[in-house]
Parts: sequence; C-alpha cells; structure tokens
Amino acid sequence: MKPPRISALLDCENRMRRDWQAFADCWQETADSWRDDRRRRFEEDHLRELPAVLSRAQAELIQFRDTLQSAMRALEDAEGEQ
Amino acid sequence: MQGNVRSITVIRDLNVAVSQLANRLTEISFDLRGEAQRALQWVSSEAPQYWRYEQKLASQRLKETEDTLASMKATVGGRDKPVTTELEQRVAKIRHRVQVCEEKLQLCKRWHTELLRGADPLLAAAAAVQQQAETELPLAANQLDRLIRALEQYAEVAPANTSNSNSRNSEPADPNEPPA
Repeated sequence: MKPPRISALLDCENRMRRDWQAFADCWQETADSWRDDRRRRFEEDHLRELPAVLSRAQAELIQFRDTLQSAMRALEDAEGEQ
Repeated sequence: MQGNVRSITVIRDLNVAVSQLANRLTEISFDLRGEAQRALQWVSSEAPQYWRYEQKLASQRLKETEDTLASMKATVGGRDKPVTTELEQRVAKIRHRVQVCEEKLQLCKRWHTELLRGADPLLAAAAAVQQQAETELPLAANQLDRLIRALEQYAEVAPANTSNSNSRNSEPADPNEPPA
C-alpha cells in the first residue's frame, strides 16, 4: 500500500507562501517609483482578491493535510505482515 | 489624471514578477488537484484493496490453523498439550488480525467520506487560484505591458524635446503627461 505524499502537500503550501511573499516584496519595491492613481487602480483591479484567494487555499490545504494525516494513521498497518 | 512613474525598470520587474507568479500559481493549482485526487484514490481504492487482501489472507490462515488445531486435538494425547496451546494462541492472534482487517475496511469508508468532504473546498480553492493565475494576472501583465510601452515611447520623445539627446534609458517622471 503506497500512502499519499504528505510532503507534496507541504511543498505546495510552502511554494504558495514563498511565491506570494516574493511577489509582495516586488510590489512593495514599486511603491517608491510608481505612485499615482493608476497604481491604485491596478491594485484594485488585479491584486485585490489575490491575498484572500491564496489565504483560503492555504487554509483548505492545511485542513485537508490534517485530515489526510489522520486517515493515514487510522489506516496504517501497525501490525504489519504476520 | 495624476501620474507618477519614476522608473521603467521597476515596472518591467513588476511585469516579470506578475508573469512568474501566474506561472507558479498555475503549477501549484495543478499540483494541489493532483495530490487531492491521489489522496482520494488511495482512500477509496488502494487502502480498501490492501485491507481486503489482508483480510482474505488472515481468514485463510485462520481456517488452516483452526483445522490443524482441531485435528491435533482429536489425535494427540496429553503429552502434546503444549503444541495445541501454542496453536490456540496462534488462532487467537490470527482471529484478532481478521477483526483488525474488518475494522480497517470500515474505517476506509469513514475516511473516504471525510477526505471527500475536505477535498471539495480544497478543489474549489485551487480552482480560484487557477482563475487568478490564468485570468486576472495575465490581465495585469497586459496592462503593465501597455504602461511600459507608453513609458518607452515617452522616454524616446521627451529627451529629444528637451536636450536633443537620443537615449532610450531616460525615465520619465510623469508618463501620463502627453508628450509635447
């Protein structure tokens, strides 16, 4: 029996956090060089929903991972071959 | 409209970052769906298959051991009691194994339901991430492309109007101001 890979879900979670942070840093770096209504509208039009979408995905991912870990513990063969 | 962009380079970097984020979120969304499906496949198919096989194996062993025990009890005398005691212990152990397999098969059903319940919102969340990656962020990149082109055009025109220089690297303070 090959159980699912918890590490793959952890990897998705870490990548999502890391990639968003890298983008957020880049966005912050534009703050000094791009300051006008267009920037504010750009943020409103294209970036407003993204943090909430990613937060929700992370929360669901953590919840699913916890459930999967419990399932794997419950269904493991602790006695092994007899 | 008030406009204030001091560096084309920063906007170009942002454009690259937007495209990179879109690509990475597309990959993550794809991987998330794959891992959720893999987990469901495991709990709905692989785990029950494993425990059904183990149950069958244990049941066969139980029958064989019980048969051996029964024939020994029928034929041996008191001096062979330790052998039958050992076999009785073995029967109890295998019977326990059969029971564990049956319980695990019931648990497979329960955890399948639990994981399905958890997978639905995860898949919905992954779809929302994909929608951002494939729709919103490309729109953002397109808008930045247009802004960069406007800034580049302005950078070509503005210095020529002021000092007759021919530099593409000039960075306008206000690209929203129409070129003279």
